[in-house]
Amino acid sequence: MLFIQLDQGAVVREEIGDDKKNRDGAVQPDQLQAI
Amino acid sequence: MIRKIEMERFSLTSSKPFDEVLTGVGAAIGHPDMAEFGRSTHEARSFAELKSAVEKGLSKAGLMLFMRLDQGAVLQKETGRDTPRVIRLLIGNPLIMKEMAKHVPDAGSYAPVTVLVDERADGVHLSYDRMASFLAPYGNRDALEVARNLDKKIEDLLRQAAA
Repeated sequence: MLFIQLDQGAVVREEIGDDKKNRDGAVQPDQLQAI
Repeated sequence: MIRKIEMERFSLTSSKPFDEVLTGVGAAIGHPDMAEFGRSTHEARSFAELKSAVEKGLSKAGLMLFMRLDQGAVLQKETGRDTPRVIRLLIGNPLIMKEMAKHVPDAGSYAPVTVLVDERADGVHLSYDRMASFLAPYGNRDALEVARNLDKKIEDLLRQAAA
């Protein structure tokens, strides 16, 4: 039986995605500071 | 491929009552509603949103409870007695896990960590397998530093709960 399923990659993917957005200029400096 | 990993197991024995020890551990970690937690982290559109959603569930120590397994209940059903009492807690922080897993993917196997609280004749045992010992063979300095900090957090928490 399955007790719990954790999508651990989601956390890493979100961070990578934000880094890419930043390179593309889609993230504002204040948002980056929040990270 | 088979890899042998030498694990360090941290253990303490407390003379305090089982429930008191368990309450002490519980007081030091966050207890988010996991359905809501799953929803808010799944719906996050950026890392900043995800981080914010995670942080809402964390305690001051930066940890949260993922799952509590009453393993003693299974043993008790067989014996018909109200002992032994054994609780396994899955404790962690997805942001800490990320800092290890981005360097060492296998770290995902060990986070969230297990804290076992069980009652024996000589007292209440609190046990924890050190993350740094799991990650040591991979030789990544950044992941190891995060793992050592996590170990310290957990071991400090267990010492306080046991004292």
